[in-house]
Amino acid sequence: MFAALLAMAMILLGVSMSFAAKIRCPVCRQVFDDKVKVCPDDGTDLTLSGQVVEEEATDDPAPEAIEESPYDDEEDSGGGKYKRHDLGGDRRRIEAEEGHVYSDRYRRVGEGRRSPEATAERRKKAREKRKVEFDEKDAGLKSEFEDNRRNMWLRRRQRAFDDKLEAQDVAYLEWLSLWGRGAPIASLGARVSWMGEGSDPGFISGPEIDINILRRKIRLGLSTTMGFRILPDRTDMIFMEHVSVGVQLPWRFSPYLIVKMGLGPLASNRFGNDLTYLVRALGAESGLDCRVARSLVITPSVGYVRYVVDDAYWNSFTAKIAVGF
Amino acid sequence: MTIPFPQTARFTRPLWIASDGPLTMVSYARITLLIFSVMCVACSDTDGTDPYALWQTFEHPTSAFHFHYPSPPWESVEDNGPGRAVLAVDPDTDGLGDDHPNARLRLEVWVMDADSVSDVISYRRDHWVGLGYQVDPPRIYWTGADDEGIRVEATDGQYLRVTEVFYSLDERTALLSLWVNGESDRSDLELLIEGFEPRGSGE
Repeated sequence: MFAALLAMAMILLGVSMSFAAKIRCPVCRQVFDDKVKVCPDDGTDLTLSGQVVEEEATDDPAPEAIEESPYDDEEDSGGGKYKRHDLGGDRRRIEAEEGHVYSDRYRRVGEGRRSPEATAERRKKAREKRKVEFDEKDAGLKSEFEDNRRNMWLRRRQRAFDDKLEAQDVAYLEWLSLWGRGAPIASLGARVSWMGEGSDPGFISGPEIDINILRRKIRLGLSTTMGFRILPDRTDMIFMEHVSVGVQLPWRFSPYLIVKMGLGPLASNRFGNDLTYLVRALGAESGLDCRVARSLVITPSVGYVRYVVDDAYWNSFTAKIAVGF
Repeated sequence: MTIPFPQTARFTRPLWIASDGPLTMVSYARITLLIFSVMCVACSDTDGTDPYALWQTFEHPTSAFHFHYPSPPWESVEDNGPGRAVLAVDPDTDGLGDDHPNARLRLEVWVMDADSVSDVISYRRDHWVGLGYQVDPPRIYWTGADDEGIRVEATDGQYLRVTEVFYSLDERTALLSLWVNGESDRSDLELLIEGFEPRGSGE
């Protein structure tokens, strides 16, 4: 029994010997052998606070312990070694004398550490730097904003100017279009003429529809007239289809001169019977196409017409006012 | 250098109609103008303001009288020689008897040999009275050409109305008798009566 326990102990010892334990000081991060109980640098109790470093044992020799203490100022009341209160030491800040300067911290952390004053100064400089950067960036943004806004207004002005030019161009084109459109395509008007009988003038009036086929320098058109011939004791009805040809100046106000030939029936009632005569008409007419708007033409015209029925003729003045497009 | 004809140009599209070359609309306009010129030559020479411009003229062979009538509706219904005209309107209208006209209007014009107009008027009055007509007294009548005549009107009291005009000629009397059956346009009848004149139309 004893022999077995001894063997086991030897085995365990061998295992423990094959894996040499290392421990790391949490303060100075120095790795020590696990036999070191207190960190020689800062006095940390490695048995309590040390971090076990598990690494396979090598044949390399362990680093030598630093014998010299970083605290060589024996005269310093806080020097020598740390006496941390949490480790059972007697270091008590709250018990420090008023006005005491903890210069050991500077020695402990080194001169490179920033002091609070330096930090404040640094922060102040940083703030100033950020302010300067912000101001520069803000100025840049403001400038960019102003540029964008100026460009926007410039673009708007340019667009408005372009629109105005375009509108002017359109208006000019529309104005130009009034001047070259020639005679109206179609028009509706009222015509008057006379076919007298005895002492009565035989006033004829009625609507007329014109359709112009050629509307430029040569004017060729068709017109249809339906009128009533007013006589004291009866009223005749006349229906004429005309062909007209002539010349004109196709301006906005287009004067024209045409000759017209017409043919149509004249319906009358004589002795209680309805009679129809064939009327021929030949005349000349002059007028003025006034293009008031693009699709609105007012045409006054006057002329001479000769009505012929069988072998009888009537010479008559004729006038018309028409509205066309 | 050959210049292509603008086939697609508006109003200048070639139109080949019995022609050696393309006809354009402008050419048609010229042709229309030419037609106008031809038609202008065909104008008439009678003044249309004359009320009888569209009426026919009956001329007595000896130029004893003439009168005007529109045809249609007036048409000749009897042939009683060159010096006598009998015209009617709607001659198919049913008559009222043998002594009444078989038409809506009936016109008879002729020359009677008589010493005086009074004898003719007496003869005609007796004739109408014998047919049951009421005859008004004769009255002096002047035509539009200031020809003096005598006009006698008679009516049967119902449908028929007779107007007769007498003109004195040399030992003869020109007579127009207009028989109206029913209602008719008074102005046309008056115009017809006024157109009866005791001489030739060219005189």
